[in-house]
Amino acid sequence: MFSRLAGPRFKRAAAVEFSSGARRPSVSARMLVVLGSSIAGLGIAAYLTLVHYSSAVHLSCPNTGSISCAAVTTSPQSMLFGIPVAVLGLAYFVVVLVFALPAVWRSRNPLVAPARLALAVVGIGFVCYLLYAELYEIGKICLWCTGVHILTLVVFVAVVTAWDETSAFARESAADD
Amino acid sequence: MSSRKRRSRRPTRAPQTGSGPRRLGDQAGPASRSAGANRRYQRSHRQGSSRLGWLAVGVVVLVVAALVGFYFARPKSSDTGGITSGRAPAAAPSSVVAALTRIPLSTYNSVGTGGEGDPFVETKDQPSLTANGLPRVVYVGAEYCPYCAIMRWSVVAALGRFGTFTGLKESSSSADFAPIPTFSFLGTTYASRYVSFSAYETEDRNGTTLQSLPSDVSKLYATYDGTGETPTKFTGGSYAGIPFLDVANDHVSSGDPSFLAPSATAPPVSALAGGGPGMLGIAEAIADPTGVVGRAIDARAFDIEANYITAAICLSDGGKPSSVCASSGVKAAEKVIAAAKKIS
Repeated sequence: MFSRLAGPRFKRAAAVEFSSGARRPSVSARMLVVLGSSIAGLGIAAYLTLVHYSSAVHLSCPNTGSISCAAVTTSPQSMLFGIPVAVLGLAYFVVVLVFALPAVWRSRNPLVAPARLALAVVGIGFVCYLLYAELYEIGKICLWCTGVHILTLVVFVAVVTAWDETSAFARESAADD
Repeated sequence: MSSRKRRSRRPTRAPQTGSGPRRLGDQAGPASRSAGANRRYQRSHRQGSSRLGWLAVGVVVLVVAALVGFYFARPKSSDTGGITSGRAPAAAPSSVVAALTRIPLSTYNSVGTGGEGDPFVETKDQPSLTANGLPRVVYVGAEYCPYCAIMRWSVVAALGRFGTFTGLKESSSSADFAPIPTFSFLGTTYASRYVSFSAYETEDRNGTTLQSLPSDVSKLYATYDGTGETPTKFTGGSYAGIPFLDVANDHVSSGDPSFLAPSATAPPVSALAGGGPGMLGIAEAIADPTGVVGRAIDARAFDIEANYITAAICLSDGGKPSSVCASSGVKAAEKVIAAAKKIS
């Protein structure tokens, strides 16, 4: 793959370079961060969804002072347009997980990177609303929900700061076609 | 004769003919110089995008920090009128609260008013009772009071449709009469977008003073419930008493309605005296009044009272949320309330 004349100074992990100079993103730390966060978020959202629908499963969460998972997850704000917020979170992380898969992360489709960015922005916007609802309308903090919020923030940071890497490649490899 | 040394030629770059991948290490030439310029452009473009990205992250972090910071910095308010005693009953189990505040809409709709009359006295021309721009619901009771013990189940169920309770306590009425499992609103907070709730537990199970009423609540009680044994025109000629429930000064009640507590020897009072099926059993029965336990304790009466309280709140808050206020059970109660005589 690499010319012998190039010598050892070129990294093995360097990707194939296209004629326009675009480099195909390799397995990056940011991709792994998004992948890991979406898996963890999926786990928590699944647990919250199970608690919502099953009275046999109880939330493992302290109920002291400002902390009350039960207060938050049984509040009117825990439903949006009739859909439990836990279910919305579950769907969100499923989609984020798909976008974080290596094949999709490195996709040449010029729509993938903007879609991933839009997803991250919508996610963090929703987190800001949920945080406001918890603190100012319900008056309590749900620890499990806070875990999901942090993971969504991590996804947002990773996707936004990877934008140049993923979008430039897709744009330019589309130009190569 | 001259000789020439043979030297191997350095390979030259093949001319670019298509858009296929170019291998790294190929020698520079005119097309690569344009590729190099292209890479320099991309690098500067990436740096610009990278800065914007981190700026966006910084904005989000600032917003989150502001939300959290203002929450912890603001003074906390209490809806319970202050606690004059250090007594703190045990917290009500979250399973009980969840069961009571998640009663299926179908249950409420199928019960409706059950043919029972309006438990409130409807008022007119009264000053509006609000807090923070929201209609205010005021409850005055006492932990020893058995009829308060009965009423609180419906109050929690109804208000649970509009907001969230935190810190509900588990309690029971006085053992002198009939220890009925119930909640205590002592130290409880309530959060809602639609209605404000203030609860005052004036005495504990032993009759010792717990909370004193603020002057505005004392005035409400005196106006709509009476003073001591003296009734008012709003109590229908009967003696003043607790539990007192005031929904925005539009709907007031003194004591339990007859369908909720017909007598000490009939359910639900008789079925719950001494404990009945326990807190969780009572909550689950109210959620399913047609079940064995539900029928035994006349859980239907709690749902009827909850529907009426819900309807009163809906009439005072402009019908919000519509998912609750537009339901058939609430509409049925609203119809009865609308037809009732109003006292000014």
